[in-house]
Amino acid sequence: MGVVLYRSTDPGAIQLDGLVGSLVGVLDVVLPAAGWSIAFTGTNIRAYRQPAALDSPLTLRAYLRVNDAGPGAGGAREARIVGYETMSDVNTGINPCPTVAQLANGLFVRKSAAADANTRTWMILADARTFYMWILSGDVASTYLCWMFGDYYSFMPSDFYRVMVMGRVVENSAVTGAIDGVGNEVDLGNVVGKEGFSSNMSGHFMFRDASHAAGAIAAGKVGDRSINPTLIGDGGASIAGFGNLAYKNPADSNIYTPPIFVTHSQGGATIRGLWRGQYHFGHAISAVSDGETFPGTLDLNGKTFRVIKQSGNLGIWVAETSNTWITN
Amino acid sequence: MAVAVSQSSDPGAIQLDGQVGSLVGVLDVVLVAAGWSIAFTTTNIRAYRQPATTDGALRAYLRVNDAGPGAGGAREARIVGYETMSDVNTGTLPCPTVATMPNGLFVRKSATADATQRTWLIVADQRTVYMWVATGDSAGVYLLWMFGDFYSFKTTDLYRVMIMGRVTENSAVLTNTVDRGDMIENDASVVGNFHHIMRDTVANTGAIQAGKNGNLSFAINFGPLPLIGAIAYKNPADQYIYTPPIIVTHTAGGNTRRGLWRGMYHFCHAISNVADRETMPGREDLAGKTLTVVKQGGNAGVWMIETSNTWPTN
Repeated sequence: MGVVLYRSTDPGAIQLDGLVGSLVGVLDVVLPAAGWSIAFTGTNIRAYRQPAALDSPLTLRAYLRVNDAGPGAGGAREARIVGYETMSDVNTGINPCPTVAQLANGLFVRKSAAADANTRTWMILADARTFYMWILSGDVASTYLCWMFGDYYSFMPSDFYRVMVMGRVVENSAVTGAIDGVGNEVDLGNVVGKEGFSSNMSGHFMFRDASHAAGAIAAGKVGDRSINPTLIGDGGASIAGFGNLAYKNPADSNIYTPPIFVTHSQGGATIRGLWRGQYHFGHAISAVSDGETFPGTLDLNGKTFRVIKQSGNLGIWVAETSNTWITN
Repeated sequence: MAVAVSQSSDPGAIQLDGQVGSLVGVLDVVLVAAGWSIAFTTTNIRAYRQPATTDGALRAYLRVNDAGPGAGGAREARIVGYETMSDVNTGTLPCPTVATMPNGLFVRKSATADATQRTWLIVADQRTVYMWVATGDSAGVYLLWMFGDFYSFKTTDLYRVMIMGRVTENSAVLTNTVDRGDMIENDASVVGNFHHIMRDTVANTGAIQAGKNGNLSFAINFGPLPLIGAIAYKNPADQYIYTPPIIVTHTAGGNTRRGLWRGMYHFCHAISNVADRETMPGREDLAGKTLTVVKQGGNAGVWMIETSNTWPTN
């Protein structure tokens, strides 16, 4: 299947709200349309799986378990997500990502600020290997949250385990930025690491390290710190998705969108690969509007990008909406 | 002319020392061999010029005063670029401007004003020259200065010429307050007197301050920062050595990525992994190129200089 942008405003789209089952209701429609299967199902719980069509070249065909039964203190405002290498039923899997030791309840997806039937704008950008979901949860006006699951583009040949998951790390929190008021990291969906990327980022996990030793590992992502000098308030570890180049770059009138690298410290500071279909915006976010599209230039010629504005850290996402994602 | 490597250990090479005229003695041979002309000359002072074969470019002049002009005496020379010159002492539109650097930039030749010979290395073609000198101020430390074209991101950029040197005269300091040859700045908003470009993007008359960036995400600290990085050596996922380009920036006209340093790259691993003059083949985007390590700078950075005849040119 090609890359498709699915939206809550599509005709007949399933709506997302703060009631149990609304997230898996959306995913049940969108992910199969993108090529994924529903491997196992329980009441308001699903296990989705990357399709068999991915078996050339061989990939993990990982599972994503989504518990949308209101499992935590946030009730139906949030769901819990965990990846697995294999599953035998909707409640049983091996080699979870993150591990139980890393995050006992997995990662969190905030669906809505309210546990009620208020519908929330959502977007999913997906192909058969990877999907990203943005939600206007209503916690802060016009502020999207992002989570993802699936393949990244690996720099490692034959990287069977090139799968990652990203979500929130604090349950039942209305915070949309990187940290809450007492310094706990909550949501790093729009941030990239600063210089010295060898430390990982909250909420990012890969199935295995570069040696393929069993067990999920903490991970992170970096864009290009050389276009953003502004640290966000997460202890100074990260920058948001924007930059300080003039818009457009005066020398060539190009929009600068360097790639987002996925990284980990396990096995040494490693650049493992690239996020498929997402880029780091190199300019002030005031230069663009939510939903604006623009064509890629230079190395990104032939691609189309959509602005998703804005994040809780006042950055934006630049999503590649053309069927041109890098794949291996 | 092709990219050529010249060094003090070449058979018959002119030697550099802390006496007047030794720098222009080297440049007279090396730059002419690389295709440059000696446009004007007088005792221990030269004006070199990019050749006519680079037409479509500025064909800028580089004035080198190697007569011991400053407080450092013959330890140092002064360098200034000009758009045009009419004699060895007269030029228009200096780079840097007189207002920013009245005496130009400084090239440290030697820690001592004597006949002690100093190791030098020049990598040059007819458009651009990089020169490293192991001055003897600190064992094993090179200082770098450069002059000439960068690769511009702008179409038909006549003024794609820059200069880099030291900003304090008669100083044995090798680190960032005086010398940033082996450093990059944080981002395009940071410029200074170390780097100057002949004109801004819209070709307003007058030299502008500039800077250079690598990939700060892969560096070890916030800058100015040395040309090294935080990636394990070699990157465990693909066994590659990461050497992103060095980007030329300025703030005139807005924070701008103007172009690339021709043939120079940011080494993104620990300095301990490579040895001076070690060579390696480029991979991926740099396939077909040969990169050579120059180790190390006064800020504990290393240079990755492309020593194959494959520099980007426009």
